[in-house]
Amino acid sequence: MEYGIKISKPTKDVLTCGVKDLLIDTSYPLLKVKATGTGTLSAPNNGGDTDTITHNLGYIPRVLVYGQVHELGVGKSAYYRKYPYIRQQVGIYSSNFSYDITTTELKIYGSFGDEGFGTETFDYFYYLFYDEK
Amino acid sequence: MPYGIRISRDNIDATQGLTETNIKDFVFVSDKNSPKVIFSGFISSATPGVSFTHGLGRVPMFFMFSVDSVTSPTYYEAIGDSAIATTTTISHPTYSKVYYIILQEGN
Repeated sequence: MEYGIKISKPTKDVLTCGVKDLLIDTSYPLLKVKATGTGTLSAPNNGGDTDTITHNLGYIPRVLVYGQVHELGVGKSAYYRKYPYIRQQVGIYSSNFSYDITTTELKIYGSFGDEGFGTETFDYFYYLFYDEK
Repeated sequence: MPYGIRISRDNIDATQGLTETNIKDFVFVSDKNSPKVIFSGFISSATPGVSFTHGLGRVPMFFMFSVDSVTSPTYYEAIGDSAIATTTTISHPTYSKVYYIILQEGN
């Protein structure tokens, strides 16, 4: 690259140090946030829920999604995990929190099947980037 | 934008106007937010399970990797979907050596 910016860590020579010692190196693209948001999935036992976020970029962008999940045998988590989160036990009990991304939409979905639980709600948040996957 | 920085990829005109579909052709545009690393490092524990207190007051985006050594690791295995984040900590219930990256951004 002929043009750009490099900023090194303190005491490191920006002209000679390795990439790991650079705080900024525009030889490598930085993720650029297009949209961020939150939502709540409401999933019945043995069922699921899907939220759709339209981006209309015309290509498949990078995305990060974090949210609550159903822990098998335990119930809804108070904490967040990184999606996709997929668990299955003895072929019957399952917990599936994930997302699909197309050239126009991000679909975030959650479902679970676990004995003794009713409908649960799961909070999530997402970051959608301009950068292509 | 009256001021700022835009750096385009090679062979892309950095002076062109930004559109929703050409921002991907830029390495960096200060018009848009980019994720910022606020914490990163290794954690180890003599017993299974590790935790790092970030104290951000929100759930941050994060990545976590299992490693074989916290001083000279020879592999990094992604374990993000089994790690746990709250408004105060990120943790893992079973691994005892991990590398983590926590971003400023989150919810």
